[in-house]
Amino acid sequence: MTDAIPVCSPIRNKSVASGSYTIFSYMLELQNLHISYGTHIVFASVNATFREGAVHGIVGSNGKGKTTFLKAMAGMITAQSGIMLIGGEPLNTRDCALLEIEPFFYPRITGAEYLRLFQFNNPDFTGVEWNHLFALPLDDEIATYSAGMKKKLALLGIIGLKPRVMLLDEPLNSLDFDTSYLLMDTLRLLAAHGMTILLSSHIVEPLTSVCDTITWIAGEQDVQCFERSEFPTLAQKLRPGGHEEQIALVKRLLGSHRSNGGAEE
Amino acid sequence: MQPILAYILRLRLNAFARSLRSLAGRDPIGLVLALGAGVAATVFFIRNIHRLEMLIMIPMLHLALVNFIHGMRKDAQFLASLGVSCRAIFMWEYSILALPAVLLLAFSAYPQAMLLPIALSAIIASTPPFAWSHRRLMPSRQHTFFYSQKAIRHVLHRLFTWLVPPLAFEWWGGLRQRRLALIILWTGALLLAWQPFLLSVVLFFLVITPIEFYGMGEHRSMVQSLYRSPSQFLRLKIRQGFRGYAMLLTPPVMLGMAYYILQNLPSASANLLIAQVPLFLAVLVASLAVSFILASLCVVAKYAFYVEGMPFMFAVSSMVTLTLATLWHPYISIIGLSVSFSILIPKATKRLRILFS
Repeated sequence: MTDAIPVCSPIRNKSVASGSYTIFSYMLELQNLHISYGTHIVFASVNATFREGAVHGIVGSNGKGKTTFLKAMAGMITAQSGIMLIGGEPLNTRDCALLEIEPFFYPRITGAEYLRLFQFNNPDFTGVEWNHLFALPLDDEIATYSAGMKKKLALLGIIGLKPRVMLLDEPLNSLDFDTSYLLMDTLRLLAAHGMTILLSSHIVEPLTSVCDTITWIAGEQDVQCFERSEFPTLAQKLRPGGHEEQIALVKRLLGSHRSNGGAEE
Repeated sequence: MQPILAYILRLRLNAFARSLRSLAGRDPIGLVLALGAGVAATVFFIRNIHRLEMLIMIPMLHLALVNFIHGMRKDAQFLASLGVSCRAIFMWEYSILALPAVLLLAFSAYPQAMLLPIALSAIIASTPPFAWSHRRLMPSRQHTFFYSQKAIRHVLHRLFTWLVPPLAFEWWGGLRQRRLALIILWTGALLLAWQPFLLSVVLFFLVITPIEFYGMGEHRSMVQSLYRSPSQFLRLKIRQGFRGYAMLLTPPVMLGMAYYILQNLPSASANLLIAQVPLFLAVLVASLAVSFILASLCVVAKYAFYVEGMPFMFAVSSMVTLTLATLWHPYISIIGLSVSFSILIPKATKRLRILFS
């Protein structure tokens, strides 16, 4: 780590957490977060800090807890212990808005009706104006939308909530190439307006162009944060190893599949 | 009422109207027949509303309907993100759903009973929906007593595999999800077998719980991979459902019958007991027949409304509930079953034929 205060810091033990950094330098701080499902521990005493007005990426393998991490911040999952602070104050779930992997929509409502819901929270939000970004057919029922269109609509809704912290779970899934770039640019603009954005992804490459930091969830106690200058190191770490054994298994299974098929014939 | 709450209710009513319009455009005859069956069932309910059983039946049907809907809800987190009290929304929606039951009970001999559906709605609305955080509700089973005892686990697994075949994924999934409720209901039915009225109430819940198993969506490949033709598929599914229902219903019914016979015997002589065997067997056959009808209804209702990967709980539960509502009268039940099967079987076969083609 550099001498300057990092945007997001990997803190693996309490002494570092309490001794090195000033709390009010960060907008969002998670201290000793412990989350488990039954006996399965997802996070054990994890610490992390995120600066306001920046875009932060979260990467990790399947099942490592990216969604859990975001849901805990959004208040959808209750952490067994730990503190979540925003600007030194306890994090209120109303400060966060989460875009889920599969956003919820009421059945048989139109896009315009959906966006209107967010106006009750934020009367300044004009869904129709914002829709020029994605040009969705707002008068059509949402059931007729493609997966990507649904994601765009849910994203507009999240923007409409105008949260202090925007949590995006796999936002690039099911988005086309063009929209992905548009989304990245939009996120940078939102961050420039003071919004803190956390977005998760399975793969690191799409995040490197937009994020100020990337947090790698490597294990239940192993949450590491990388600055922009350290992204090449992270990419190196996440480079997949050889899958020789698995490939050999697939070849063997395909071989037995063919011989079984031949026997049936 | 908060403006956003009113707006959400209006959205839901609009959505319902759109569904009705779309159904009327796609399947007008089916809609007319369903409405006709509903009106007929309602008329017969009103004609017999003075009976105490009906006063219990109507709130229970309402409870079953609301419970199904509540169990499938996924909007709690969405509403929380909007800052809306989901309990208030649930309460309003379930109260609107309670209106038919309230009206029916208001015209009964005991109009005070109209408060029951509202009270039941409030109770259901105050509980968190099952879909809220499924992962949190599933603690590891490794440390529970049964799962730590390998021998017990093995015997239980063998027993269940014998009773419910492994390919009956609805039943396996459902039994795992509703394990606690089913154990309580089944044990309750056995314990209350000496009380015919209480037994019938518990049996009612035992009958409606597995309907939920058939409301889950499944992928097309799951349907296609196991079977070769629609008729073979339907036969196997009905057989699996029959075994599941028979397993749940037959033991408490037979125990209840045994209690009834013993209570009504003038003296405990062997001849008198032997004379009751035909009655006992008749009840066994009736219990198996009801199991078969229930399984058939659930299966054909499910595949008549099958949409790949989509839950169709409402369709299955409403079809089965409507048909069950006709079972209180022998002639009406024959008509109800005939109408239901004559609509559902061709629809299910047609859907499956498309899937298998």
